[in-house]
Amino acid sequence: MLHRRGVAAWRFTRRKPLGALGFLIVFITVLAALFAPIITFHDPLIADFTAIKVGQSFNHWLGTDEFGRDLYSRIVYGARVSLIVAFASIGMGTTIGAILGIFSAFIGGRVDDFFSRLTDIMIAFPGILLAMAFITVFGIGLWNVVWAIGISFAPPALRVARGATLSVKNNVFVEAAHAVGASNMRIIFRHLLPNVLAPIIVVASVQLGSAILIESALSYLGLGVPPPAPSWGRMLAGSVLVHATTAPWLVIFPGAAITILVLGFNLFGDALRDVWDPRLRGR
Amino acid sequence: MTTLLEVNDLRTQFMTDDALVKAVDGVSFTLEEGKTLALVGESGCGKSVSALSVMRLIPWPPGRIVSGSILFDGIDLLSLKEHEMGRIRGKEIGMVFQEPMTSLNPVLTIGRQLTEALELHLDMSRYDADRRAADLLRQVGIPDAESRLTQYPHQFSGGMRQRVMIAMAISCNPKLVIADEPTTALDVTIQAQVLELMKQLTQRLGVSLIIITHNLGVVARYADDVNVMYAGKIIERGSAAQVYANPSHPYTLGLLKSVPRLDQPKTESLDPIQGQPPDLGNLPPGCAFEARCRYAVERCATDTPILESVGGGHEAACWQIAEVAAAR
Repeated sequence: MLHRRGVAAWRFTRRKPLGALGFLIVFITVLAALFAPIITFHDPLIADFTAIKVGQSFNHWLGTDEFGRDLYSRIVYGARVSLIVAFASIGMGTTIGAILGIFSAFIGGRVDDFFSRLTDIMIAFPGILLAMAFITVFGIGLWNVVWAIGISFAPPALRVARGATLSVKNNVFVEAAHAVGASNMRIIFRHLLPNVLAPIIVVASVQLGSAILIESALSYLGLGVPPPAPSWGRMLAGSVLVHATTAPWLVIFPGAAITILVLGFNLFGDALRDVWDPRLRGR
Repeated sequence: MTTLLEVNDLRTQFMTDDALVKAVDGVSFTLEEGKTLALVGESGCGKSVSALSVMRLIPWPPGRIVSGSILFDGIDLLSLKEHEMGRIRGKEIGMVFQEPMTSLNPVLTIGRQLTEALELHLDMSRYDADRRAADLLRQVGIPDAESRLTQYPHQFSGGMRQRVMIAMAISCNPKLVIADEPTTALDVTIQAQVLELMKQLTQRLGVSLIIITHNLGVVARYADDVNVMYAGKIIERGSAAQVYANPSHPYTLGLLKSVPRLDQPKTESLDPIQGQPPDLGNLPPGCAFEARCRYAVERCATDTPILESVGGGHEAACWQIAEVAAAR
């Protein structure tokens, strides 16, 4: 089993080197977030007023900010916020969207009309706008950010799941499942879900990048994870811009972190979309 | 001999935007235990809809069973609630579909699909269900059953998939198996194997079988009784031997004449039925076959013929039975 997985991973790398690079970026970021206390040497929250805006050195790899906090530590800890928000919001948003989409397509008729129109309306708003509206109503905080982003990403998942379900629900195997006495619930979860899972996972992985961007944007606007928790978006916000001319690394490194992680998710998601076909699995 | 299935005056209709399509229009038939019944007819004559009605698998909307009764083993299937019907499907009545390439779920292993009915109806443990599944695969002639269980449908050929479908249909020891054109999508050589297998299994397990087909060769070899359908009605019925020896409806006669025979002189050309089957949403009054029938008389255009005996349980619905018999 392990050997087969290894072979599959190798083939993926050969066929989609950029996808593998994307996966590597995400993987390293996840490791860094997990082991943040081990791989950093300064507390990201403690200001050192003797070392304000010092450049890169052996002690401060990426320099320090205007309060003398170690930028490297802040970026590593910031990865935690970005990843938690990205995975939790997309996980929640796609799960809700996918389940509603499958039910909507399976039931059809008025129910389907209702969810489709609702999706149209929600997609008409930019995700960031929905998220901002949500946060304005419910206030800032990590889990509110997760909900806000998750809800704004549910509609695309709903659409994809609905479309995929429509294309498989008229297959004879669904009728055959009815014919062996399976209930509608069983057919939805046992027969339809595995068939629509691949496109849903692809959508989710592509959206992860966007979720990080939105989280950064929300933090930049002061609607994200509240300070002093280090967040990549917030590192770019506020008075930092004043210091950008004298200490450019304060905007360069967090910006680069956002760009690289988003790029990683997108590369991986795109490659997954190209590769994933259940009929090729196990060959 | 006891009656397993008794269908009385079944009417199944589809509401489309333009018309009310009477796909099955007053069909009655009975099936004795252990017998094989063939429903014969061309595409769109209502034979599949009849079978799906028995399973109560008519999709609503647009389809609906509007009247009639279906007595299966003493139970009126049309009066059952949906979850009660769920206990009949797969357990008491198995079904084999026409398209072996699409009737299996592409992303589930063969084993999981085979064990589905076992888990649903017989409450078997995973281990027992797997062993039973392997045993079923061996019964339908698939070698190396244990390792085949972990494979996906795309790793099976068409004939092998149809064997898997048969194994699924018989997995809970049903009393009745309905096979909807089980061989239409298969190679000729495989067709014979699959039919032979079905015959053998149904005989050994004492299962009754309804074969839906348009292939008269299949009927002759494998069916005890034949119901010929046209435009939603049964227009001729009898034992396979009776219908072959004395086709009494012009449509049956036409069907038999449109199949080439090996003992026929090469110079003789085939004699196909002219014209197209009628639009089921807009049936003419009288006999539905009237427009294509060479024996038609005035009366056929106005009065609908009913099934009348032509001797020994053999019945046909035609006003011109005597003329057809004379021309045979």
